[in-house]
Amino acid sequence: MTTKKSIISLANNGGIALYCLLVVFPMLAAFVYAFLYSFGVVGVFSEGVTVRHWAALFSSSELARSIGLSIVLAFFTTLLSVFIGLLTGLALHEHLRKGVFSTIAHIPLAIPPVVAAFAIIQLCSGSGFAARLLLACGVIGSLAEFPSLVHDTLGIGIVCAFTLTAAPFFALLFAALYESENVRHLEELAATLGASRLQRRWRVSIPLLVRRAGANITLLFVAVLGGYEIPLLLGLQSPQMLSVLAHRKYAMFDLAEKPQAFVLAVVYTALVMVLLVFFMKKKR
Amino acid sequence: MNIQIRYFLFIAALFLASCTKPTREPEAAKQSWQAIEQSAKGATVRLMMWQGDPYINAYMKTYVVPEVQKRYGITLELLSGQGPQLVSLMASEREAGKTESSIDAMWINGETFYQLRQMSVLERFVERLPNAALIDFKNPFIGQDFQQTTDGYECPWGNVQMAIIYDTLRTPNPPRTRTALKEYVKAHPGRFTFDNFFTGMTFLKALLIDIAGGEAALQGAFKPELYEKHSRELWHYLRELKPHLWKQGRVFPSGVAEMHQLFVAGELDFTMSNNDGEVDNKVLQGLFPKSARAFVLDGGTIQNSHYMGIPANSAHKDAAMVVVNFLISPEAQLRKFNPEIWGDGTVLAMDKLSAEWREKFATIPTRRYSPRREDIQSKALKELAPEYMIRLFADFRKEIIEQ
Repeated sequence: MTTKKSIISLANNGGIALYCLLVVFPMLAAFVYAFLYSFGVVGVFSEGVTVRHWAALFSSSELARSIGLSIVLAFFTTLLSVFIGLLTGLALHEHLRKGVFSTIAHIPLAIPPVVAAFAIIQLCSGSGFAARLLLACGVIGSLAEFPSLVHDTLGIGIVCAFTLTAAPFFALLFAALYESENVRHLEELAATLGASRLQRRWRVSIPLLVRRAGANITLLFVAVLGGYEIPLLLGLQSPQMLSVLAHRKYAMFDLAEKPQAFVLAVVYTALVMVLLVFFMKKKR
Repeated sequence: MNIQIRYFLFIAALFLASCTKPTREPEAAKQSWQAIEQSAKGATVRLMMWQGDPYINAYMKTYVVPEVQKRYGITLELLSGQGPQLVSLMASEREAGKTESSIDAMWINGETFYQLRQMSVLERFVERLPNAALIDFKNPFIGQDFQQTTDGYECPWGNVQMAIIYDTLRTPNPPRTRTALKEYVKAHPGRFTFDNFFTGMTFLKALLIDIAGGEAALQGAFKPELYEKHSRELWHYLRELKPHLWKQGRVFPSGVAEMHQLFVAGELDFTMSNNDGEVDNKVLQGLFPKSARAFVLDGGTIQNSHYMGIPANSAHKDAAMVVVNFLISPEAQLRKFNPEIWGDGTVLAMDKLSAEWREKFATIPTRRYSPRREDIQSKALKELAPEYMIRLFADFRKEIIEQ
């Protein structure tokens, strides 16, 4: 008995150790490195400890605009994905469990962000499929009249591409939760207590499903916040979302700006940590 | 995500660097070329280069890679990356204390060369290449890279001149001067732009030289006061154009490949290329219509060369040198010169070649759609000091994109 127990505890501890070694340690080391780099402690052109890079980044409007843009686009992507997910998940939950619909719904899960961005370029750019179709139908007089979603000022293209990758996941998630959380029974119960169809959805099913999917919703928000490929391909050159800005500072011509990339990395990590802690507290 | 992976690589590299002992390789300078070829046998050379053109990629993959394997037993691996990526990779490797670079050769020029030299990460090797004797180093467009002497730290590979590309059916009379361009852009809103990478900045340099009153004004080392003075007028000019540019100048294409697509799709009236032979190459690929042509501005466009460099801490310097020596051989240069293969200008001096090779260079199928070199050579401008490019990149963002 004791040997079995000790083997189990060893396996558990081993698992934790492996997790720390492969996940926690590299992340922590990277964070410390970024932190040191941002203050000029390390780096090939470092001239000693300085707060110059922090001051440079915080004194320009670039950082604030980038954070603002990232948060706004992440918010709208999350809102739209959850909305579409609820709509389709609730309407089709029986079909989404198995059969043709389920297969179709699973396909978009395999779409990488780059492909989603290219889909938007193919369909919704100024010379894309939609623009040509509308031109051929005479809806628009020239290609230039089409409101292109590539590099658009409001970031609609970015939100659409991210939603394309996230909404199908939420549809499947909500459909699965609908079954596993016995939402149907709760709805029926609400119905016997006199709730209307709309009330059942708004007061019973949706709050329950959204609360259950809370962790996933937060993760989607964080993923969009740090997304790289989609804003790189579809975004403006100013302002840029956080990862795109960080990579530009990291690998653009002026080597003197490189430490600012690490300032951004530290700021981004702090932002995500605050978000996660806030969410955890709320959940408790 | 991307950044995090890079951090991780930093850390991993740090560990690896501390685990392996630095090994000193035999001093290559003392070896004869034969011995170098001998020691190169069986090595793998990792070459980092821009891979944004199908013809260039095909030249490398279907000709250079198999040839160096067959002739010298060298496995050549091509990696994608250019300019700033290379500089940041080399900087990261130094920061991580790597004693052995992850690449053995790289395609560079201008400000990339300048920054790599500043970091002292380049090997001096060109004098050792037998074929270097054939290079036209006396030509200032080849022997000098952005006003810098190359000093054997990079080997000329090809020579090109920037040209503006248009469709004769759509735009029979393209604007050829700075003033005419402004009028054209105002009359055709949304139909003109330039990319915010190498080619676009090279275009801006030509405008800057034109504004400064010609090539002579900005020759030599970088002078901040001259740059300030003339660039102010350049930004003024561009701000006047901005509302009439593609997407109202809020965004610029990320490179020539994107510009070409927009041109072909009909969104733009013009695209550009740093290669004066580009139109032939792209018509043959079926990308451009046969009515596409190229021209250079009356004020001139930049002609420059591109080079091959070898990192000082490459583990396969001998093999890298053998590859570069092959790239500047008459045979490889001739093939690259052919507009049906790539259409890149040669860096070899015709008077140093044997009569047989001279004849071959003279009789190669000529360009059909691109301007002839003889016709644009008189409008060739020499590159400016690298700081101009670095400043233009940064200030273009500040003065135009972020406005």
